[in-house]
Amino acid sequence: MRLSAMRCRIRGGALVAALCAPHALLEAQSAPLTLAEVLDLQRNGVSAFQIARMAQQYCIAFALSDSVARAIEVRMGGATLADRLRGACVKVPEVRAPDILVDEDFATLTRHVAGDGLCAVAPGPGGMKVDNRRPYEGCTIPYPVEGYGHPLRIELTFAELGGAGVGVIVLGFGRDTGSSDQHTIAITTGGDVEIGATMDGRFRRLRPLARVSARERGAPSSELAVEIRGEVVDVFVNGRPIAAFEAQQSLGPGLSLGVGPQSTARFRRLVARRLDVASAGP
Amino acid sequence: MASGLSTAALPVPMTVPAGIAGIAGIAGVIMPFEATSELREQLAQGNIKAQFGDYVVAQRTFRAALDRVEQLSAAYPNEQTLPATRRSIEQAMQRARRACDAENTVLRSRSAAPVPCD
Repeated sequence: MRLSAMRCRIRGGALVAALCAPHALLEAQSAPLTLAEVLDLQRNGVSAFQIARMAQQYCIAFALSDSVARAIEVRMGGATLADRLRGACVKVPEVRAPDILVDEDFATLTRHVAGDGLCAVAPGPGGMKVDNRRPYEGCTIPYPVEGYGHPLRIELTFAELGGAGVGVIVLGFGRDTGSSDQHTIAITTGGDVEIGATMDGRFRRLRPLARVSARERGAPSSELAVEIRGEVVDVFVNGRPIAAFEAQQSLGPGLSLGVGPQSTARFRRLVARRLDVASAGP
Repeated sequence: MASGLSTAALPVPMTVPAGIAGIAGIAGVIMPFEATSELREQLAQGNIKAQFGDYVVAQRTFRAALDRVEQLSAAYPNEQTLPATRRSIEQAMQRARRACDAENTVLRSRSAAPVPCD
Protein backbone atom coordinates (compact mmCIF):
# COMPACT_ATOMS: atom_id res chain seq x y z
CA MET A 1 0.00 0.00 0.00
CA ARG A 2 1.31 3.41 -0.79
CA LEU A 3 2.11 5.58 2.18
CA SER A 4 -0.12 8.40 1.01
CA ALA A 5 -3.06 6.03 0.65
CA MET A 6 -2.31 4.68 4.09
CA ARG A 7 -2.29 8.16 5.58
CA CYS A 8 -5.73 8.74 4.13
CA ARG A 9 -6.94 5.48 5.62
CA ILE A 10 -5.60 5.92 9.11
CA ARG A 11 -6.95 9.41 9.52
CA GLY A 12 -10.45 8.19 8.72
CA GLY A 13 -13.62 10.26 8.87
CA ALA A 14 -15.79 11.71 6.15
CA LEU A 15 -13.99 15.04 5.98
CA VAL A 16 -10.58 13.46 5.67
CA ALA A 17 -11.91 10.97 3.15
CA ALA A 18 -13.15 13.88 1.07
CA LEU A 19 -9.76 15.52 1.29
CA CYS A 20 -7.99 12.35 0.35
CA ALA A 21 -10.16 11.44 -2.61
CA PRO A 22 -8.67 13.95 -5.09
CA HIS A 23 -5.22 12.83 -4.10
CA ALA A 24 -6.12 9.21 -4.74
CA LEU A 25 -7.57 10.23 -8.09
CA LEU A 26 -4.40 12.06 -9.06
CA GLU A 27 -2.39 9.05 -8.03
CA ALA A 28 -4.53 6.78 -10.23
CA GLN A 29 -4.23 9.18 -13.15
CA SER A 30 -0.46 9.18 -13.00
CA ALA A 31 -0.05 5.50 -12.13
CA PRO A 32 2.91 4.03 -13.99
CA LEU A 33 2.36 1.16 -16.42
CA THR A 34 2.69 -2.21 -14.78
CA LEU A 35 4.44 -5.09 -16.49
CA ALA A 36 1.07 -6.87 -16.73
CA GLU A 37 -0.38 -3.89 -18.57
CA VAL A 38 2.58 -3.75 -20.96
CA LEU A 39 2.27 -7.45 -21.71
CA ASP A 40 -1.47 -7.08 -22.16
CA LEU A 41 -0.97 -4.22 -24.61
CA GLN A 42 1.51 -6.37 -26.49
CA ARG A 43 -0.81 -9.34 -26.53
CA ASN A 44 -3.53 -7.19 -28.03
CA GLY A 45 -1.31 -5.98 -30.83
CA VAL A 46 -0.50 -2.49 -29.64
CA SER A 47 2.70 -1.48 -31.37
CA ALA A 48 6.02 -1.04 -29.61
CA PHE A 49 5.89 2.62 -30.58
CA GLN A 50 2.55 3.15 -28.87
CA ILE A 51 3.52 1.22 -25.75
CA ALA A 52 6.74 3.18 -25.48
CA ARG A 53 4.78 6.40 -25.95
CA MET A 54 2.47 5.47 -23.07
CA ALA A 55 5.48 4.47 -21.00
CA GLN A 56 6.99 7.89 -21.62
CA GLN A 57 3.75 9.49 -20.49
CA TYR A 58 3.07 7.40 -17.40
CA CYS A 59 6.49 5.83 -16.64
CA ILE A 60 6.79 2.13 -15.95
CA ALA A 61 6.29 0.42 -12.61
CA PHE A 62 8.96 -2.23 -13.01
CA ALA A 63 12.66 -2.43 -13.41
CA LEU A 64 13.66 -3.53 -16.88
CA SER A 65 15.77 -6.45 -15.76
CA ASP A 66 17.22 -8.96 -18.20
CA SER A 67 14.44 -11.45 -17.46
CA VAL A 68 11.75 -8.83 -18.05
CA ALA A 69 13.44 -7.74 -21.27
CA ARG A 70 13.56 -11.37 -22.39
CA ALA A 71 9.86 -11.84 -21.64
CA ILE A 72 9.02 -8.79 -23.72
CA GLU A 73 11.34 -9.84 -26.51
CA VAL A 74 9.80 -13.29 -26.67
CA ARG A 75 6.38 -11.78 -27.04
CA MET A 76 7.57 -9.24 -29.58
CA GLY A 77 9.87 -11.53 -31.50
CA GLY A 78 12.47 -8.80 -31.28
CA ALA A 79 14.11 -6.41 -28.88
CA THR A 80 12.26 -3.38 -30.14
CA LEU A 81 10.00 -2.77 -27.19
CA ALA A 82 12.63 -3.55 -24.56
CA ASP A 83 14.96 -1.09 -26.26
CA ARG A 84 12.29 1.56 -26.40
CA LEU A 85 11.24 1.04 -22.77
CA ARG A 86 14.78 1.62 -21.60
CA GLY A 87 14.18 5.28 -22.26
CA ALA A 88 11.07 5.42 -20.07
CA CYS A 89 11.08 6.73 -16.53
CA VAL A 90 10.76 4.05 -13.88
CA LYS A 91 8.48 4.52 -10.89
CA VAL A 92 8.70 1.27 -8.99
CA PRO A 93 5.99 1.38 -6.31
CA GLU A 94 7.31 1.51 -2.81
CA VAL A 95 7.41 -2.00 -1.47
CA ARG A 96 7.10 -1.96 2.27
CA ALA A 97 8.99 -4.67 4.04
CA PRO A 98 6.64 -7.04 5.81
CA ASP A 99 5.86 -6.08 9.37
CA ILE A 100 5.86 -9.69 10.49
CA LEU A 101 9.40 -11.05 10.36
CA VAL A 102 8.70 -14.36 12.06
CA ASP A 103 5.46 -16.19 12.76
CA GLU A 104 6.38 -19.66 13.90
CA ASP A 105 3.98 -22.18 15.38
CA PHE A 106 6.61 -24.94 15.51
CA ALA A 107 4.28 -27.42 13.83
CA THR A 108 6.57 -28.33 10.95
CA LEU A 109 10.01 -28.44 12.56
CA THR A 110 11.63 -31.85 12.82
CA ARG A 111 12.22 -33.71 16.05
CA HIS A 112 15.73 -33.26 17.34
CA VAL A 113 17.77 -34.70 20.18
CA ALA A 114 20.98 -33.03 21.34
CA GLY A 115 24.26 -34.90 20.97
CA ASP A 116 24.37 -35.82 24.66
CA GLY A 117 20.87 -37.25 24.44
CA LEU A 118 19.71 -35.12 27.37
CA CYS A 119 17.74 -32.45 25.54
CA ALA A 120 14.94 -33.36 23.13
CA VAL A 121 12.87 -31.08 20.95
CA ALA A 122 9.58 -32.48 19.64
CA PRO A 123 7.45 -30.29 17.36
CA GLY A 124 3.73 -30.89 17.16
CA PRO A 125 0.32 -29.30 16.65
CA GLY A 126 0.28 -27.86 20.18
CA GLY A 127 3.72 -26.35 19.77
CA MET A 128 7.28 -27.47 20.29
CA LYS A 129 7.92 -29.44 23.46
CA VAL A 130 11.42 -29.02 24.89
CA ASP A 131 12.54 -31.49 27.51
CA ASN A 132 15.92 -30.84 29.11
CA ARG A 133 17.31 -33.42 31.53
CA ARG A 134 20.72 -31.85 31.94
CA PRO A 135 21.29 -31.34 35.64
CA TYR A 136 23.25 -28.09 35.42
CA GLU A 137 23.00 -26.71 31.91
CA GLY A 138 20.23 -25.20 29.90
CA CYS A 139 19.12 -26.23 26.45
CA THR A 140 18.95 -23.52 23.79
CA ILE A 141 17.57 -23.53 20.27
CA PRO A 142 18.96 -20.67 18.14
CA TYR A 143 16.53 -18.91 15.84
CA PRO A 144 17.90 -16.38 13.34
CA VAL A 145 15.87 -13.27 12.59
CA GLU A 146 16.63 -10.45 10.21
CA GLY A 147 15.22 -7.07 10.93
CA TYR A 148 17.13 -5.42 13.69
CA GLY A 149 17.75 -1.77 13.06
CA HIS A 150 14.01 -1.24 13.12
CA PRO A 151 11.90 -0.97 16.25
CA LEU A 152 11.04 -4.60 16.88
CA ARG A 153 8.70 -6.63 19.09
CA ILE A 154 9.33 -10.28 19.85
CA GLU A 155 6.57 -12.38 21.42
CA LEU A 156 6.98 -15.88 22.75
CA THR A 157 3.90 -17.81 23.82
CA PHE A 158 4.59 -20.85 25.97
CA ALA A 159 2.81 -23.36 28.18
CA GLU A 160 3.38 -26.39 30.38
CA LEU A 161 6.43 -24.93 32.08
CA GLY A 162 7.69 -27.45 34.63
CA GLY A 163 10.58 -29.64 35.60
CA ALA A 164 12.18 -31.74 38.27
CA GLY A 165 13.25 -28.66 40.18
CA VAL A 166 12.60 -25.05 39.27
CA GLY A 167 11.41 -24.93 35.70
CA VAL A 168 12.89 -22.09 33.69
CA ILE A 169 12.08 -20.81 30.24
CA VAL A 170 14.46 -18.43 28.46
CA LEU A 171 14.02 -16.03 25.55
CA GLY A 172 17.34 -14.84 24.18
CA PHE A 173 17.82 -12.01 21.74
CA GLY A 174 20.50 -9.72 20.34
CA ARG A 175 22.87 -12.56 19.62
CA ASP A 176 25.39 -12.15 16.81
CA THR A 177 26.13 -15.03 14.49
CA GLY A 178 28.95 -17.15 15.83
CA SER A 179 28.70 -15.75 19.33
CA SER A 180 26.94 -17.00 22.43
CA ASP A 181 26.64 -13.51 23.85
CA GLN A 182 23.04 -12.46 24.16
CA HIS A 183 20.48 -10.77 26.33
CA THR A 184 17.93 -13.00 28.03
CA ILE A 185 14.57 -12.86 29.73
CA ALA A 186 13.84 -15.89 31.88
CA ILE A 187 10.74 -16.90 33.83
CA THR A 188 10.62 -19.59 36.47
CA THR A 189 7.73 -21.76 37.56
CA GLY A 190 7.72 -19.66 40.71
CA GLY A 191 6.97 -16.51 38.73
CA ASP A 192 10.39 -14.88 38.97
CA VAL A 193 11.46 -12.89 35.94
CA GLU A 194 15.17 -12.46 35.39
CA ILE A 195 16.70 -10.04 32.94
CA GLY A 196 20.33 -10.57 32.13
CA ALA A 197 23.08 -10.59 29.57
CA THR A 198 25.82 -13.04 28.74
CA MET A 199 29.02 -11.30 27.67
CA ASP A 200 32.16 -13.21 26.79
CA GLY A 201 30.57 -16.31 28.26
CA ARG A 202 29.76 -14.70 31.63
CA PHE A 203 26.18 -14.07 32.75
CA ARG A 204 25.24 -10.86 34.49
CA ARG A 205 21.83 -9.93 35.86
CA LEU A 206 20.79 -6.50 34.58
CA ARG A 207 17.77 -5.84 36.79
CA PRO A 208 16.51 -7.10 40.13
CA LEU A 209 14.17 -10.05 39.84
CA ALA A 210 10.60 -9.17 39.02
CA ARG A 211 7.61 -11.37 39.73
CA VAL A 212 4.41 -12.26 37.99
CA SER A 213 1.32 -13.02 40.04
CA ALA A 214 0.10 -16.51 40.86
CA ARG A 215 -3.04 -15.84 38.85
CA GLU A 216 -0.97 -15.08 35.77
CA ARG A 217 1.14 -18.17 36.35
CA GLY A 218 -2.01 -20.29 36.41
CA ALA A 219 -3.05 -19.30 32.89
CA PRO A 220 -3.04 -22.09 30.27
CA SER A 221 -0.37 -20.22 28.35
CA SER A 222 1.76 -17.18 28.93
CA GLU A 223 3.37 -14.61 26.72
CA LEU A 224 6.78 -13.15 27.13
CA ALA A 225 7.53 -10.11 24.96
CA VAL A 226 10.31 -7.64 24.42
CA GLU A 227 10.21 -4.44 22.45
CA ILE A 228 13.57 -3.28 21.16
CA ARG A 229 14.12 0.30 20.14
CA GLY A 230 17.76 0.87 19.47
CA GLU A 231 19.50 -0.06 22.71
CA VAL A 232 16.40 0.33 24.88
CA VAL A 233 14.46 -2.83 25.67
CA ASP A 234 11.02 -3.03 27.28
CA VAL A 235 9.93 -6.34 28.78
CA PHE A 236 6.33 -7.52 29.03
CA VAL A 237 4.79 -10.60 30.60
CA ASN A 238 1.25 -11.37 29.51
CA GLY A 239 0.97 -7.88 28.09
CA ARG A 240 2.02 -6.17 31.31
CA PRO A 241 5.25 -4.12 31.34
CA ILE A 242 7.71 -5.67 33.76
CA ALA A 243 10.91 -3.73 33.22
CA ALA A 244 12.93 -1.59 30.85
CA PHE A 245 16.66 -1.60 30.45
CA GLU A 246 19.45 -0.50 28.19
CA ALA A 247 21.30 -3.16 26.25
CA GLN A 248 24.93 -3.71 27.16
CA GLN A 249 26.03 -3.79 23.52
CA SER A 250 24.58 -3.41 20.08
CA LEU A 251 21.96 -6.04 19.48
CA GLY A 252 22.54 -8.63 16.78
CA PRO A 253 19.83 -10.38 14.79
CA GLY A 254 19.77 -13.75 16.52
CA LEU A 255 17.01 -15.09 18.73
CA SER A 256 17.10 -18.15 20.89
CA LEU A 257 14.54 -20.17 22.79
CA GLY A 258 15.47 -22.39 25.65
CA VAL A 259 14.76 -23.97 28.98
CA GLY A 260 16.86 -24.16 32.11
CA PRO A 261 18.39 -27.27 33.72
CA GLN A 262 15.88 -30.08 34.32
CA SER A 263 13.11 -28.00 32.77
CA THR A 264 10.37 -28.72 30.30
CA ALA A 265 8.13 -26.34 28.40
CA ARG A 266 6.01 -26.18 25.29
CA PHE A 267 6.72 -23.28 22.95
CA ARG A 268 3.48 -22.47 21.22
CA ARG A 269 4.32 -19.51 19.06
CA LEU A 270 7.12 -17.12 18.25
CA VAL A 271 6.35 -13.84 16.53
CA ALA A 272 8.77 -11.07 15.63
CA ARG A 273 7.31 -7.96 14.12
CA ARG A 274 8.47 -4.51 13.23
CA LEU A 275 6.95 -1.78 15.28
CA ASP A 276 5.64 1.35 13.60
CA VAL A 277 8.17 4.13 13.73
CA ALA A 278 5.39 6.28 15.16
CA SER A 279 5.12 3.93 18.14
CA ALA A 280 8.84 3.95 18.74
CA GLY A 281 9.88 5.25 22.06
CA PRO A 282 11.72 8.47 22.78
CA MET B 1 -20.31 -24.57 -95.26
CA ALA B 2 -19.36 -26.12 -92.05
CA SER B 3 -15.81 -25.29 -91.05
CA GLY B 4 -15.63 -27.94 -88.42
CA LEU B 5 -15.17 -25.29 -85.71
CA SER B 6 -17.97 -24.31 -83.39
CA THR B 7 -18.29 -20.61 -82.74
CA ALA B 8 -19.01 -21.39 -79.13
CA ALA B 9 -15.45 -22.59 -78.76
CA LEU B 10 -13.97 -19.28 -79.92
CA PRO B 11 -12.72 -16.69 -77.45
CA VAL B 12 -15.49 -14.37 -76.29
CA PRO B 13 -14.65 -10.68 -76.10
CA MET B 14 -15.49 -9.21 -72.62
CA THR B 15 -16.08 -5.69 -71.46
CA VAL B 16 -13.18 -4.50 -69.37
CA PRO B 17 -13.88 -1.84 -66.68
CA ALA B 18 -12.51 1.55 -67.49
CA GLY B 19 -9.01 2.17 -66.29
CA ILE B 20 -8.12 -1.42 -65.89
CA ALA B 21 -6.17 -3.10 -68.63
CA GLY B 22 -7.36 -6.62 -69.05
CA ILE B 23 -6.59 -9.59 -71.10
CA ALA B 24 -9.54 -11.48 -72.47
CA GLY B 25 -9.10 -15.17 -72.47
CA ILE B 26 -10.96 -18.39 -72.12
CA ALA B 27 -10.67 -18.29 -68.38
CA GLY B 28 -11.94 -14.74 -68.15
CA VAL B 29 -10.22 -11.44 -67.36
CA ILE B 30 -6.98 -11.45 -65.40
CA MET B 31 -6.72 -8.72 -62.74
CA PRO B 32 -3.83 -6.38 -63.48
CA PHE B 33 -0.83 -6.39 -61.21
CA GLU B 34 -1.32 -2.70 -60.41
CA ALA B 35 -4.63 -3.47 -58.70
CA THR B 36 -2.99 -6.00 -56.44
CA SER B 37 -0.19 -3.68 -55.46
CA GLU B 38 -2.69 -0.89 -54.84
CA LEU B 39 -4.47 -3.08 -52.29
CA ARG B 40 -1.20 -4.10 -50.70
CA GLU B 41 -0.24 -0.47 -50.39
CA GLN B 42 -3.54 0.39 -48.72
CA LEU B 43 -3.14 -2.51 -46.29
CA ALA B 44 0.40 -1.40 -45.42
CA GLN B 45 -0.70 2.21 -44.98
CA GLY B 46 -3.49 1.16 -42.63
CA ASN B 47 -1.11 -0.94 -40.59
CA ILE B 48 1.34 1.95 -40.32
CA LYS B 49 -1.43 4.27 -39.15
CA ALA B 50 -2.49 1.75 -36.52
CA GLN B 51 1.10 1.29 -35.45
CA PHE B 52 1.33 5.00 -34.69
CA GLY B 53 -1.99 5.03 -32.87
CA ASP B 54 -4.00 6.72 -35.62
CA TYR B 55 -6.69 4.09 -35.45
CA VAL B 56 -9.40 6.19 -37.13
CA VAL B 57 -7.33 6.78 -40.26
CA ALA B 58 -6.23 3.16 -40.18
CA GLN B 59 -9.81 1.92 -40.18
CA ARG B 60 -10.76 4.40 -42.91
CA THR B 61 -7.86 3.13 -45.04
CA PHE B 62 -8.86 -0.48 -44.44
CA ARG B 63 -12.48 0.25 -45.31
CA ALA B 64 -11.42 1.93 -48.55
CA ALA B 65 -9.34 -1.13 -49.36
CA LEU B 66 -12.30 -3.40 -48.67
CA ASP B 67 -14.49 -1.30 -50.97
CA ARG B 68 -11.86 -1.64 -53.66
CA VAL B 69 -11.78 -5.40 -53.15
CA GLU B 70 -15.55 -5.45 -53.70
CA GLN B 71 -15.19 -3.51 -56.94
CA LEU B 72 -12.42 -5.74 -58.14
CA SER B 73 -14.33 -8.88 -57.16
CA ALA B 74 -17.22 -7.74 -59.35
CA ALA B 75 -14.92 -6.98 -62.21
CA TYR B 76 -12.79 -10.09 -61.85
CA PRO B 77 -15.04 -12.78 -60.37
CA ASN B 78 -12.52 -15.49 -61.08
CA GLU B 79 -9.59 -13.68 -59.42
CA GLN B 80 -8.32 -16.12 -56.83
CA THR B 81 -6.26 -13.70 -54.74
CA LEU B 82 -9.10 -11.37 -53.79
CA PRO B 83 -10.76 -13.50 -51.09
CA ALA B 84 -7.40 -13.89 -49.36
CA THR B 85 -6.74 -10.16 -49.65
CA ARG B 86 -10.17 -9.46 -48.18
CA ARG B 87 -9.39 -11.73 -45.25
CA SER B 88 -6.06 -9.99 -44.68
CA ILE B 89 -7.74 -6.61 -44.60
CA GLU B 90 -10.49 -7.79 -42.28
CA GLN B 91 -7.92 -9.29 -39.93
CA ALA B 92 -5.95 -6.03 -39.96
CA MET B 93 -9.13 -4.18 -39.04
CA GLN B 94 -9.75 -6.56 -36.13
CA ARG B 95 -6.15 -6.21 -34.93
CA ALA B 96 -6.35 -2.44 -35.03
CA ARG B 97 -9.66 -2.51 -33.18
CA ARG B 98 -8.26 -4.80 -30.51
CA ALA B 99 -5.15 -2.68 -30.08
CA CYS B 100 -7.25 0.46 -29.80
CA ASP B 101 -9.48 -1.17 -27.17
CA ALA B 102 -6.41 -2.29 -25.22
CA GLU B 103 -5.00 1.23 -25.22
CA ASN B 104 -8.32 2.56 -24.02
CA THR B 105 -8.41 0.05 -21.18
CA VAL B 106 -5.15 1.51 -19.90
CA LEU B 107 -6.33 5.06 -20.45
CA ARG B 108 -9.68 4.50 -18.75
CA SER B 109 -7.98 3.06 -15.67
CA ARG B 110 -6.18 6.39 -15.42
CA SER B 111 -9.31 8.44 -16.04
CA ALA B 112 -7.82 9.69 -19.31
CA ALA B 113 -9.88 10.37 -22.43
CA PRO B 114 -10.07 7.31 -24.68
CA VAL B 115 -8.65 7.46 -28.17
CA PRO B 116 -11.20 7.10 -31.00
CA CYS B 117 -11.09 3.68 -32.59
CA ASP B 118 -13.03 4.20 -35.83
